[in-house]
Amino acid sequence: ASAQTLMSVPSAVTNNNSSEKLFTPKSELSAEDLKQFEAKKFTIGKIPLKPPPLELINI
Amino acid sequence: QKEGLQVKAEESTMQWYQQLQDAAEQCVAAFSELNNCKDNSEVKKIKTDLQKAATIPVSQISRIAGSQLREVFDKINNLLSGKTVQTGGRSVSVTQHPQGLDFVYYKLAGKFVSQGEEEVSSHRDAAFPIAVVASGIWEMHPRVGDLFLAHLHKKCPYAVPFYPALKEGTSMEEYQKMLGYQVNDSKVEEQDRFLKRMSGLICLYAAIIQVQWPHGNKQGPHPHGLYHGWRWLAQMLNMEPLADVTATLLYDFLEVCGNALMQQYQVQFWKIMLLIRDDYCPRIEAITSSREMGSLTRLRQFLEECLQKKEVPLPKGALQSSFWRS
Amino acid sequence: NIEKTEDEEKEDRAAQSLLNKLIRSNLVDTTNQVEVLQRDPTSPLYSVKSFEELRLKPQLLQGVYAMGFNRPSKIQENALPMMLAEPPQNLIAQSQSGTGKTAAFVLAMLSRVEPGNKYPQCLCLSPTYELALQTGKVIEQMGKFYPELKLAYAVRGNKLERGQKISEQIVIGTPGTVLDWCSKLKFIDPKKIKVFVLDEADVMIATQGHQDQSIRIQRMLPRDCQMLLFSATFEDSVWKFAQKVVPDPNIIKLKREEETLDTIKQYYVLCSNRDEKFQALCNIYGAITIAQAMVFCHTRKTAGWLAAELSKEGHQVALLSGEMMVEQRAAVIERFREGKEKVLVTTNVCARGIDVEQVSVVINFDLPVDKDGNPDNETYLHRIGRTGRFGKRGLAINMVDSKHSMNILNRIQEHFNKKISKLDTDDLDEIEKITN
Ligand SMILES: Nc1ncnc2c1ncn2[C@@H]1O[C@H](COP(=O)(O)OP(=O)(O)O)[C@@H](O)[C@H]1O
Repeated sequence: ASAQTLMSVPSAVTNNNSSEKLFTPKSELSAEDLKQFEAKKFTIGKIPLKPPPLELINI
Repeated sequence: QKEGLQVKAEESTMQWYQQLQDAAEQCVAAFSELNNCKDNSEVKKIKTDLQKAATIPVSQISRIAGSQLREVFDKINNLLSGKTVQTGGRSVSVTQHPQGLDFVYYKLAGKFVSQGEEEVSSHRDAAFPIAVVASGIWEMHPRVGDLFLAHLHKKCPYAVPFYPALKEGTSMEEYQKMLGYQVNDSKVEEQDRFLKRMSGLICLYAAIIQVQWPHGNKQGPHPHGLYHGWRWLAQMLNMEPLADVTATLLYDFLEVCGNALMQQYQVQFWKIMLLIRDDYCPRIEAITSSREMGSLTRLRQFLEECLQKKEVPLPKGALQSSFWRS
Repeated sequence: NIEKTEDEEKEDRAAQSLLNKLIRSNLVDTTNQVEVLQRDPTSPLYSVKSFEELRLKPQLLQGVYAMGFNRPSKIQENALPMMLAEPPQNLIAQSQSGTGKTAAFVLAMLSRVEPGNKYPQCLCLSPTYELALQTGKVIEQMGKFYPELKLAYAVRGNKLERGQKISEQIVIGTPGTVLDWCSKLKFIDPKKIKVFVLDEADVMIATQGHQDQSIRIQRMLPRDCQMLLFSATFEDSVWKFAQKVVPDPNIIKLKREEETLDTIKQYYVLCSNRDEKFQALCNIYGAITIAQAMVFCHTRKTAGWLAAELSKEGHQVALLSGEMMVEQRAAVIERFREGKEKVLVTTNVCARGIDVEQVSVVINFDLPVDKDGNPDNETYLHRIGRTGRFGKRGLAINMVDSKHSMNILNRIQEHFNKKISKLDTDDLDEIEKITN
């Protein structure tokens, strides 16, 4: 067996994604999503799939 | 269609799901030779040993002691890192066959999922020790993570989440299987048992996204962290609910990772909680028969209590820091 | 030492009942019909398919749902409307353990209690302290949304000041102590009791004195007190006792589900010695996901050896062995049920009577034989037989290590006329297939 087989291929799907962090920078949110985070309440059916920006977790 | 809610999961969610399924299929194809080794007894021995070395430690995960969990972790990590490990008195290493590593990745990922299905469905507590080992292995060996998700999604589409739609030409039995029911000799499993299994799998997922292996050497970001807790919850709540299933799984999910989400997302999390109570629960109620209010009642009890106390309780069975000294 | 004294047998019943409670986390499935005999056959017969139909107090409905229940069990469908009817009716109910009797009478007690009144209104008799504790836990869970509701245990060792009165609304205890509290010590005013429950009547009458004490307690209660009696079995002696303590009863019976081998997949593995059997067991673990397994050995020695070998391999093993006291056995079983240990290794003698229906895989490391070395079919059936509904797919694997044991296996197979297939444990793919 060769040592090559042991080089674990990086995850194809999950990990090469830079948005994989806890919060979403405002710049990466659509206007609609940002509006949802800034509002007092979410509109049903319109919760952004990306997590909120750090600045908006404490309004 | 009722205003606001979608019937289907978003395109991006479904693409992600499909990519994971494709990756799993590619993986299977990549170890086909090792898999179909019927007439080569030498290779067959290797395959047996590899499978045992990958899966037996998972069945030994328990909350008895932190040191015991470390042993299990080391056994798996050593195997995946190409070291020689012992199983049943025999030595084995993934280097013994060029397809060994792929094979072990696949078997191990599947084992994490089935252990969750079998065990967490009857002992909620079991979610955390399994999750912490799985998450640690995921961090060190990311492909295990992709395969884990692929296996999980196949058993439980609600973990993605999405609700499979009945397409023309699909038989009822096939459709039931797509929905996650076990079907044996055309007999579908009972609803309560089905719900228990799905609950077990969702609890495992909810535990994984919030725990990290404490002895990692690099301790980078979580390989599949709370970001996905937000994503899951948001996607779930943007879709039309399904009787029984939605209320059951939302409750399980929040019970296990609500506290972590609250700490992370604060006000935005409470906005979600309010939305569930004020807008989403009525939608669930509208599709639930008045004789089957159990799951919805439990969800409501939980929401009420949290909103009243402005606090989501810590999940039962979470591993305390003292555990790691045991 | 197969012969047991009568006293040991009696003690065993309470122990078995306790161990079964401890190992159970689910309702037992049943397909049998409930038989109902009404005191007044002309009154309409109610049965409910949902808890909503019972019109429970909201706190109680919440409590029921918070326990994770979704709908009434088979026996509850009939028993609950009867127990909750106005005016109160008496009931004798028999069904095997695990079918939901305790939950039913706890709900009845909680429905009748006035939490504002600070004196005992419900009295529940249990055969032993440990069983009383189990029932107490159910009361606490179901009464979770009744913070003012309190529970007292009338058990030996629970000493109160003379002249004191109990303020707890529900008292649960063993007959001797309850009798003392009601008569000699007057901690309880029996005239104020509204619901009287006699649980596990069959176990109860197996204990010297309990029957008389129960009857004496019952005689002190007011005429309009609701009397409820529950039993897992219904021999003549239980029936006679029941009629003495429960006047004008409704009667509900649920036939015990026959254990069958229909819903179980049976296999055997051919080995040449003990070590190979152990290897086979390891391979099984490598191939299928077993939440919990029970492994039966013939002797205490083999059980001890096997447990040690499995531990060496890193498995979490519990050993249930004959010389343990009931409390020790209970502790082992409770840990096993909680999932702390995943494999329970035991000998036949000490697992006798324990319902293993909760366990998905049963392994006969040694085949069950009687003291003459003949196949013990009854034990075999009890170890691996299941009641037949979907969802309880079971798996039984028998280890065969000699011509002699192969012969035993063949005879078992013939006796039940059910095929036991050969399994090659060297082929993990093949083992994987058997669980699909
Ligand atoms: N309606 C129900 N739905 C689901 N589980 C139930 C229900 N009633 C009882 N159980 C559960 O089933 C198990 C057996 O019930 P129990 O009342 O103790 O039975 P028994 O008194 O007949 O032995 C317990 O774990 C209990 O919590």
